[in-house]
Amino acid sequence: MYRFGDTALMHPLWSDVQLHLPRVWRTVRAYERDRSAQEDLVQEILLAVWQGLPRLRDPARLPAYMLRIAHNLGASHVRQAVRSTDRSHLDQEAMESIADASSDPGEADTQWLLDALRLIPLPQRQVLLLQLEGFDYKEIAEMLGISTDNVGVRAHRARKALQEIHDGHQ
Amino acid sequence: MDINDDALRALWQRQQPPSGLADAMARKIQRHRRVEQVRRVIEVVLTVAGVALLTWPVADGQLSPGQWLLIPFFSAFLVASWSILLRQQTEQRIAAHEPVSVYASVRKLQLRNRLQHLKLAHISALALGGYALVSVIACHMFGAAEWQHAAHRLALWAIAWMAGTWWLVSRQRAAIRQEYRGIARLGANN
Repeated sequence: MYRFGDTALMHPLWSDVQLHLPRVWRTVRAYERDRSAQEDLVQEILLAVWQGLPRLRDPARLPAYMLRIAHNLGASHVRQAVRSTDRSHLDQEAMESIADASSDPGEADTQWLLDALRLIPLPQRQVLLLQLEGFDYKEIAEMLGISTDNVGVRAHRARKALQEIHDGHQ
Repeated sequence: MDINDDALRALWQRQQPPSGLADAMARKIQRHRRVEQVRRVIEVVLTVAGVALLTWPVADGQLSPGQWLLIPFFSAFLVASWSILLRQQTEQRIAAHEPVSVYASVRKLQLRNRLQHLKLAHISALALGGYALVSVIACHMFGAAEWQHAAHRLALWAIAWMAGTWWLVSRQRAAIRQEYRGIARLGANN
């Protein structure tokens, strides 16, 4: 079986990159619905990570570093989904998916969360996603390049939007 | 459904990627590395070939009419488009290492530059078309049959080049504007 880091050419931190791959994958899912497009975006993120690894001074910061790249490229990627499909159609599709989610109880909650997240504006969605990954306000502020107060405001708005979507779904 | 912090975090982190994703990504990264290496070799070979193509006849002291007419095409248009078209992905990956707010600023600048490059490519294609038209007229008025044939070949190249440029520019411009609007919203203080 092919494994990350098997080749001598790969950076020594590739095994750690593999460890944090689920975080990148989850983040990508909040930006893109289509499975093959998700893979393309993950690949693009990993290429950027790979190119930047030699400049990463502190390996402990790898998860934050990977997610920062994921959010940057995810934000740029949104336009590709929008380009191929009308925005209102996307929103309608997401709302229908939320409505149908209860038909499969096992994955319904996860699907509901993903669809709801995709409806939240990008600046607020990024803060919420980073919170869900376990980062605190200070870390999020550093990753996004904004103040901790601003993180708080965005987080509050994101939770409010999520609550409204949830209430509308009930 | 419970949407308190802990419940949401548990729900979110429960998601795990498909088992083959890491393997597939590793293969793709390795393939990308090989393609990049091949591309660098091709760039060097094309540059050397282009220089040889343009300097060889000059060194010999003999240039055919076709070579004279195609010099602007090969020396300016192809080189410019090569550098414009192939460099964009790398600069985006480099910018992506920055914090999101910095990325938003840098990326907006990159996208504005891309729009300028596309405009330049469009103008260059039109200029090449104009040059080809003038060549055809001038060669028909003053040139021998050999020059006229060379001018016709140049005109065909120019038409193909203009069509390709128009297709590429219109396709990329719409995508760039969409991304710009999305990134601009990121930079907004909300």
